[in-house]
Amino acid sequence: MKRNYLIILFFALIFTACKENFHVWKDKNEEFLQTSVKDYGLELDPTTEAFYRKINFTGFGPRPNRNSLVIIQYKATLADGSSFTSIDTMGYVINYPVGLQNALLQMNRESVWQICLPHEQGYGKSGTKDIYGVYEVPPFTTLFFKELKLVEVVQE
Amino acid sequence: MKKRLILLFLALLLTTSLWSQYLGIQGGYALTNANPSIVSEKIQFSTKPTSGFVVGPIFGWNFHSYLGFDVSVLASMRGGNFRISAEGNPSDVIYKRTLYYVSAPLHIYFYHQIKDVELSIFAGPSLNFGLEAQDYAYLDNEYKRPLMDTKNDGKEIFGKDNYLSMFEVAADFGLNVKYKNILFRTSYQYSINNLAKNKAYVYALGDLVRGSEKELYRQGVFTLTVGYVFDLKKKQKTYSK
Repeated sequence: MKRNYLIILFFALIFTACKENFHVWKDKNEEFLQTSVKDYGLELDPTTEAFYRKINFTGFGPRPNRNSLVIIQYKATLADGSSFTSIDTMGYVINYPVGLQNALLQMNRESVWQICLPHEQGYGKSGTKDIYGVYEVPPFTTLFFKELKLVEVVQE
Repeated sequence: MKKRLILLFLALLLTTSLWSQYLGIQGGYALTNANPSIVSEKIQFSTKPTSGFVVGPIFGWNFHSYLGFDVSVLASMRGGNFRISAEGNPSDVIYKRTLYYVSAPLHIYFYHQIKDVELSIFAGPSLNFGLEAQDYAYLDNEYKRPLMDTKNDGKEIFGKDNYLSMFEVAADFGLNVKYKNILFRTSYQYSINNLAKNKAYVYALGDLVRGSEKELYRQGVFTLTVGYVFDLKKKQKTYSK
């Protein structure tokens, strides 16, 4: 009986010792998602039910599709307070993270939204890296776009 | 020339078979202290010893009344745990490295027999071949923001275009106590060649240090092993009966 307890204890120790590398970052990001949703009054997107959003302004222009070339502006923040901004970035909708794609598909030109993407809707478990192999967006990162503006739909 | 060498080896084998030979297996604990450095005043390293293991067969041969040699083939897991502080970086970078090696240490030893106990001191080179390695680096702050994780990315660390040299030549020395069939051994080995290749660990430090500074990476490994060996000479006697 005593031996069985020791075996269980041994495997429990191994299990706890093998906790994945990203667990602190992952937990902090889940926490960040919850506090951002609460603090900024974001609501679950009714179409996809996969990310949180708040519509600050609805434009009257056309909506893009996945193959559209668009110009967007955004200010995004990560859990650790680091931020990145983009002014008039041109790109194909299909090349953005899935959550951002889903948001853009619902936005008319000139619309301004706030969106918060859980990691599954962002860069997932892989993250993105620079040319040196260092993470720009680490795995399990919640992306909070404090301001996302669809400036132009260049090519529909 | 080749024939002569073979004959010499066989002659040595026959004459030295009077002395004991043993074959066995050993395994135990390995404590690695990585020694990374970079020729730059902006960067400071501090290291922490990391636990690992070592296991494999050993063959020993007392070819003289007080001299012998042994050779082992060892599989080992080593670690590297170090902190990098760079001028201008608000948070330090913690690096956790896990390395898997196959090593072949070859020792010459002086031994002294006291009844059933054989004491020896040994020294020799160890040729180490890196099989696999993993690097994980993160910022040492509340968020532990990951900077790199080669396991997650499937990136190789050993190799021509990667961070670390696959081959390591190390100096190995230590003490051996053999009591009947049990072998107790403690040894220390230290890299002779520089293992760091281009940008071994400065990737994670940001643009500040992505220069052409010379990087060094060496490792000291302290091992404590226990083995069980079979005396080959005794077996020969049994067969002759």
